[in-house]
Order: sequence, then structure tokens, then C-alpha cells
Amino acid sequence: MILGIETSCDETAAALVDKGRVYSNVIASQIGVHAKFGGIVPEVASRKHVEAIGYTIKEAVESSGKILPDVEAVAVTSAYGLVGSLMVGVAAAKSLAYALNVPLVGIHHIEGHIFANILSNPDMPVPHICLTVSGGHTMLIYVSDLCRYETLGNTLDDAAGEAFDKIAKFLGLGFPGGPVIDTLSAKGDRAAFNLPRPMHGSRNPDFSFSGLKTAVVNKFKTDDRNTLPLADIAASFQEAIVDVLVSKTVRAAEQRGVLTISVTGGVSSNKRLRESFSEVCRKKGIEVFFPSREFCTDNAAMVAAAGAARIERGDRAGLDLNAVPNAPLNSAK
Amino acid sequence: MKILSLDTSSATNVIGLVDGDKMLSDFAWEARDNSLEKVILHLDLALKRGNARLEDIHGIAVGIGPGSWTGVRVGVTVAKTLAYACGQPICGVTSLQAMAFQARDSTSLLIPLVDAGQDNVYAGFYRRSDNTVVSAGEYYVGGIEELAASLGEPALFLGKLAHVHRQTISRVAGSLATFGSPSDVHSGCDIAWLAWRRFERGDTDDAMALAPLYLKESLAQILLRKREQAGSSSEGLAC
Amino acid sequence: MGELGSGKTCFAKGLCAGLGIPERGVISPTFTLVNEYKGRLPVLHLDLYRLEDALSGLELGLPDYLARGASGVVIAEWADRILPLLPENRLSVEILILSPRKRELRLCARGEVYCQLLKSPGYT
Repeated sequence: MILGIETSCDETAAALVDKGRVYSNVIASQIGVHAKFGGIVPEVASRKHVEAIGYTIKEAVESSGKILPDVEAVAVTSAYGLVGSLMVGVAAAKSLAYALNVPLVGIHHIEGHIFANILSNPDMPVPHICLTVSGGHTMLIYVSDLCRYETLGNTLDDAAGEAFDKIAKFLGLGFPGGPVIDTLSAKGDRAAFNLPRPMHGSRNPDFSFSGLKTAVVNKFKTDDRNTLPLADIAASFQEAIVDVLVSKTVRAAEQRGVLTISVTGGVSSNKRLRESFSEVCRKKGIEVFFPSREFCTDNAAMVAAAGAARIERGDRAGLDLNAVPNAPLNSAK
Repeated sequence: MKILSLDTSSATNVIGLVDGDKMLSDFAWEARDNSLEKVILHLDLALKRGNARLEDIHGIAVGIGPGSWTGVRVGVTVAKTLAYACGQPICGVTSLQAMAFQARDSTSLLIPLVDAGQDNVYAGFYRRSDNTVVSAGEYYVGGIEELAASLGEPALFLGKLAHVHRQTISRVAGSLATFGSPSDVHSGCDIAWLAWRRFERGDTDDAMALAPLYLKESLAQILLRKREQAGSSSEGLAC
Repeated sequence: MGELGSGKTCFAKGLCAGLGIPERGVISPTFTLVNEYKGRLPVLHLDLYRLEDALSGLELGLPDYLARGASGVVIAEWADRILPLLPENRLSVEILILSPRKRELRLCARGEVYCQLLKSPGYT
């Protein structure tokens, strides 16, 4: 039974997972913890980690049907994220591991996302190519085996989810941008505007979305917001992003001769992205997997799952585990 | 009654373990951005040196600032998590209280000062009571001259910052102002003893709700006021 | 400072390149708020886009970060969100979009060090 803790950016989350079964998956912003501290869920929730962490862990334990002594190990996101946020999770995790006298393991946030899909789809094979795409990151990883990674590509500027948020804000659509654009695009014509697909055809596996963002801003900023065909713009913009994500990921899979693609992260819940991946992969005989919606955005169940795999491979953190904001994704030894 | 204490809110991080008025262990280390890394290791050492186990502890006392933003978060999170895991009561102690506690033998009004950034200070007001100190007024956030000018009785200014501003305070407050130790450092055991009476009375804090002391709202108002006074916010000033 | 798409992160990449940090390593900190890089000098790359105001900045411990960054270089995108929290001594760079491929950079110095920097040869 692993207690997972995740506080790498905006969310404070805790979960109990045992052998692939999720007993609880608690995210502070979703259980009204924030209501205790001011009513609104702030866009930048990392300010409330210290206030929320106790309640979150307690709720994760209480709603799981288990008790704290049932916890056999603690896994915490300790690498990749905002250092002031990571530290809270790591401090809580170390304290628990110490008090309960159980093993502790530090997880890289991206590894968490990779495991979000493995948790949702336990039969997903390795090796596979994993595209993890969210507000904070867009990364392409070759997963040769469980906990064995080779980073292929990264964003050179904006993450895909970030581009969604910025354009949504520019169009006056609200936050978070991804879901809003996703819904609105369904009503729009995705071929209405021909927007650039940066690095689309490039052999370089890296991503770049700031050019697309700038193109949209430049094209429409002088227009009166009320006259803009928002649905069409949203659909065309979304199509450009989806196009780039799908083509680069599929190309990476073909280059490695891999027949499985895993798409994770907050943006992986986007309907058009899922549709496009499924279409393209079907034609190429590639299997594509997506996590259940509850594991797409930052959560602790994925961290617990990653923790279980790491612990099985003998990975252990000492009580001097530290929060590292810019760590690369490393394989287990 | 064994009390375990910890304070990571200032540059010197401290851990203490007491049993009644007996000191079992007392630990201090210069933080330098490694509070998180070292805290549990040192906590473990403190317990071992004091021949105690976590299960034997009756209460946890923790420094809640004001102080380093990242530092405070480490201590408060560790303390509240341990309190939850071991089912023990918890008491939050402020750095200002801890500084005042050092001077609890004095009969004056005690005014510890800590830096609030941007030339402002945080000040607390305390008086001795029953071998400890109790609050004697709301916190003050603002300029040092204003604070000194507001004095209506003899007061003992405490801490490093008080000595840095000694001349200004003396000029404005005259003979009303005296100065105590120029050190901000308090020991882990001081935190434990400060919280002692509260544990005895059952006047403890809610581990789930315990948060660092942010005197930020007041500071934000001051900053905004300053900005308004300084004129427009445009960046049009060239040199 | 500059509107969406003006090239603030691009400018940051250039500045970091001058400190020996590869362009690839400098990415948008919009979500993380702070990215840290190690070059000839340590760099803190902030993006305040997601903050409503200076108060939010306080709640996120920005003064702490700024103090930590004082020994190196701090690049703050969308710095106008937290003006009251910025140090007195700083160099402001405002990027204005003249056309899709043209930008105008307005440099404004506050404080001795930066005034000297702008006056020194190398700037016309």
C-alpha cells in the first residue's frame, strides 16, 4: 500500500494505491479545501500547499477505507516543479516515512505522468513512446522498459497547455484554457484559418509553440473581440497544436520501430487530440493509450504507481531527500 | 512531559527536546537553503541523543515565523505531519515570541523586531507572565521611525535589527527605548519551553489548520501605499 | 515587459546565451513561475503572467526568490504585475511590437549600477 504525495506545482494531492488499485485519489482544489481558505480556487494554487497538505493527506487516508498504519511506503514528487511547492510535499512525505518507519522514494514529476497511463492501462506494453503534454511541459520520451527512459524531445519555449491557456485568455475565454477551447472548437471549423505548425516537418523532435501563439495574436489582435469567429479560431488553433503533437509523436514511434504510443498529461484529455491520435495510429497499425481523465492532470495516484515500480526495483530515498526543481528524468538503476 | 520542538524560520535552524524543565537535547545548524534536506536527520539525532522516541513525545512545538518563506514552510509542514501521524498535539510559536522569551526577566514592554523587507520591520509586543511571555498588542508592520514615535512607555527592543536601527530608535524615542540582546538566535529548547504552559493547559493548535504566520496583508498595504506616494507606476524614468 | 507574443522569452534566451546557458535550456516559466539556470552567473527566470497582483506575489514568497537571486541575475517577465516588489535597482526592458517581425526595445535603468551599464560603450 503506497501513499503518494504530489505538490510540484499548483495542486496539493495525496492518494493510496496498492498493486494497481486506487483506494483514494484526493486533490485539494477539488474537495473544497480551498474553500476553507478563501473561497475561490486560485489560478496559482501553490501558495496554499502548507495549508492544504494536512487535510489532503488525512482525507486520502480516511476516504480510502484504510488507516495510516496500513501504509507500507511513501512516494512523493521530489523532482521537476516549483521548488517552493515541491518542498511541502517532500517535507510531509519524509515526516510520514520517518514516523511510520517505512521506505521513502522520490519521483520525477514526468515519471508520474508516464505512470498515469500505466495505472489506467496495466496491459500497455513496453517499449512505448510517451508524449506527456500539459500546461507546464511537452515532452517526448522513449520508454524502453518500466522506469527506463530516454528523453527524445522537449518544448523549446511554451508548453502546449500553456499555449492553450494564453490563447484562451487572449480570446477572453477563461481559465483553464484547454477545456474551454476543446468545447468551443467542436462548434468551429478547424480549417477556417491556416495557422503555422512550428517544427512540424522537422526531424528535430523538440516542440515549439510560441510561434503559433504569436501568429494567432498578431492575426486577430486588431479586431473587435465581438466580431471574431471564436469557435473557428479556437478550432483552427487547436488543430495546429494537435497536428504537431500527433505527427511528431508518430514519427518518433516509427523511427524507433515501436508500435505503442502513450499520451499523458493534462492536455491528453483533449477530445480532438484523442480523436486525431486514434485516427492516425489506426492507419499505421500503432496502438495508442490514454489515461482515465482523473489521472490526466496532476494527481498523487500516478506518483504512488510510479513509487511502487521504483521500490520494486530497489529504489529508496534517504531521509535527506531534497526537492530538485530542474532535474532530468533518470532511469532506475 | 516531553516536548519536541523545531524552528526552521530563520537562518539558524533549531531542534529541541525537553522533559519538564530538563533539557534533553538541543540542536542548531546554519540553514543555507538546506533546511529540508537536513531537518528529519537532525530531528532523529535529537531524539536519539535525548534517549527518546517519537512515540514518547507529548507534544510538538514549531516556529511559525515570520522569517524565511521557504524555511518556515519546511518546519511547519514537518511538525503538522508528525503531529498527525503520531496523534500528538501541536503548538505554533512565533519568532517574535521566541525573541521576547529570551528577555522574560525584564519588566519592560518587550518589542522584538524582525526584517519585513523593503526597509520595513515586523514588531511584536510582549510582557512577562508566569515565567514566560504573553502578547501585549497587535503586530506592527511598517517603518522604524513610526514605531519608535508611537512609544508611550519604556520598552526593551530586541534582536539584531533593533541594534541595526539603534541610533534611529534612540533619536526618536529618547530614553524610553532600551536595547536587549543583539542576537535573534533562540534555541530549540526555548521554543519548547515557550509552548510548555500551553500544552499543560491543553491550549494547543489544530494540526490541520496550522499555517505559517504571514504578516503579508499588512505589508502589501504598506507597499501599495508607498507606491502611491512615490508617484506613477510608469517606467518612464531614465537617468 | 511587453504584450503576448512580443518576445520576452526570446529575449531571456538571448540574455542567458550571453551567460553561457544554451538556448534549449531556457523555456517559458509561465507555469512553474520560476526556472533556475546555471551559467556564468546563476539565473532566476521568473514569469509573473499568472499572478493577479503584488499580493499574490507575496503569498508565493517572491521576495524570498528575489533575495536569493540577488547574487546572480533575475529575469522577470511580466514584471509590471509586481512593481512594488521589485528592487529599487533594476533594468527595465520594454518590448514593443512594430510589425510581425520587428520589435523595438526600450531600456530604462534605475539605480547607479544599471545607469552606468547603459552609459558604457557598447550601447549607442
